[in-house]
Amino acid sequence: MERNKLRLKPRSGVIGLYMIPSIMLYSLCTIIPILIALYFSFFKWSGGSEMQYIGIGNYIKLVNDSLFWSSFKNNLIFIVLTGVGQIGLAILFTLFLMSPRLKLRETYKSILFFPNVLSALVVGYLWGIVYHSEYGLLNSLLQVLGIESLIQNWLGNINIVLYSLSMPRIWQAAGYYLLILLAAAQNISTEVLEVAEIDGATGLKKAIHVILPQMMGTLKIVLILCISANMKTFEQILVMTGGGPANQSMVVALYAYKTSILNMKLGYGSAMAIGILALSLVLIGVAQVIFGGITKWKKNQSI
Amino acid sequence: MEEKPKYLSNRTVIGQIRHHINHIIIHIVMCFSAVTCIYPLVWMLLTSLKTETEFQLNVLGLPINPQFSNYAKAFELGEMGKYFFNSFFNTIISCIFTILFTFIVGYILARFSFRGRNLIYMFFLSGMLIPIYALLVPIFIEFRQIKILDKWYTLLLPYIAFALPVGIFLVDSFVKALPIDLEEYSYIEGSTFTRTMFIIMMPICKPVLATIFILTFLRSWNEFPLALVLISENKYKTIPLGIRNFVGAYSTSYTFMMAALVMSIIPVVILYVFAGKQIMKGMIGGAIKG
Repeated sequence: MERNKLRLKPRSGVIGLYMIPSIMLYSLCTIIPILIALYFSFFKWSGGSEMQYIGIGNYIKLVNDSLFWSSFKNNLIFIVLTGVGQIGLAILFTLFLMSPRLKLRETYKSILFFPNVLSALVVGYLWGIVYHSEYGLLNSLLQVLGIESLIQNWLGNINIVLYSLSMPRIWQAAGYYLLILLAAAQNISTEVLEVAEIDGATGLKKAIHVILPQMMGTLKIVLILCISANMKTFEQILVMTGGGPANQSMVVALYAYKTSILNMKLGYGSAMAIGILALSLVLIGVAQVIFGGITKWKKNQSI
Repeated sequence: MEEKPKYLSNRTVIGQIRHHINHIIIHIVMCFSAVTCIYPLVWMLLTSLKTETEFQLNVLGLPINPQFSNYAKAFELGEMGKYFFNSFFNTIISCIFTILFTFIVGYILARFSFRGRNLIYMFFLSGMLIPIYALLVPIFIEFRQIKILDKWYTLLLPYIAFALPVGIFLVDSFVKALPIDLEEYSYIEGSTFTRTMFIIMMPICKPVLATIFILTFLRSWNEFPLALVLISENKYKTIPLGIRNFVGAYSTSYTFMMAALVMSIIPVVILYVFAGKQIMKGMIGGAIKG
């Protein structure tokens, strides 16, 4: 028995009684809905009493559904765009905030982190108006700065809509990754940094050759967190473009929502949910394998 | 780190100048970034205080005559009182039950070894791998089948459920780090399990329970997709759904819309002002534990 386990323990019935509500509630919202969706995914069903068993028909339809796959592709593009922006800025700010003589470090942290506590919906609506072609903050600023050539319909242009949509996510979440990276950077022992300075490594050199390599483990965690967080973008796209124009900014969660809840194709929607679940798990799995190291890092952290 | 080490003082003049320039650049970039970060929010606040024509004529300027009445109007037109109440109700009840459930499960998992312990641990851990957006439609179908859509408790169920894993792991690692002497002593003195857990251990766990409160508060207050899918009756709608209604109905009154947005984030801003440090620590710790 482990050192921190109690020698005296209550009867297992008592333990069970205390655990049951949590286990039931958690099952109700995770395992059971998945099993239900799995069941209904074999039927053609639009919510009424009529249900028709079609075997793997829905899955065949899903595999051939070009909109589903283009939505998934948009998810991937979106992940790359936001990921590069968020992590790039987070690294840059981390290195800057590590600068020994910088004042107001805590203030910068508080400001850059703040958008994280806002709801994605509010962020979506706010940026929707920021991008507004007539009264938007962005176009108005461009006009004041005299770069009218850049003024455009940010959310209506199919070539840039994904870029436009990724900006609010970068704005909102960069501070979050910054804090994780900064915590890791501040764990690098001062001795290492001082030795590096004696050796003549300062500024950028110190950053690239001393600080960054020490943070590789955390950087991998951040990458995986970033991928799973950006995969779930839903409400922001729903309120900013609704997946448009011409489905150019459609993502899988939004497509599943439209199919199932707005069009009540519940059988097909169930198959889609299972498909999304599988794709997400594969994506996270691949990310884990590529960036590895997560378990090793976790072991080093407490527990 | 704070003080410049002494051995750095004998730099060459050029090196020192370069050093200064680097610092100035860092200062400028950080200032610029902070301003850029906060500016859209300031703009939102300024816009919410303008009249509609004022806004359309002058998008960037300061409000000439701050229209605080925009807030009253948006509050009334948007039936914000009802949505605020529903959001507070869902948030507070979710927080209470999340704290209670995560404390019980986390404490038991940390302190006792029993058959099925690892299974339960894995159960909550693996659930965290399931992305919520993949569960939206399945939960909708399930709730629809067992007829618990559009009830006063509908949103409480997933809000509490999805807050469980992180909370359980936070409590688990917190309790594991505590010495067991106090509990053993209380058991030897004849205290029951329930008494020991709630009267003796729960107060000790206050710091971690406060973190769980903050995380659950933010999560529930800001939650939108589940509310969108599970609630269609107006009387149970929360703030995010209310905002969506409002925007749908007054899509061209940008100033009212901004006022509604500002109002909706006030509780979160208050929490951030008073517990910013804990929020940052909790969100980072919670995510990494996850």
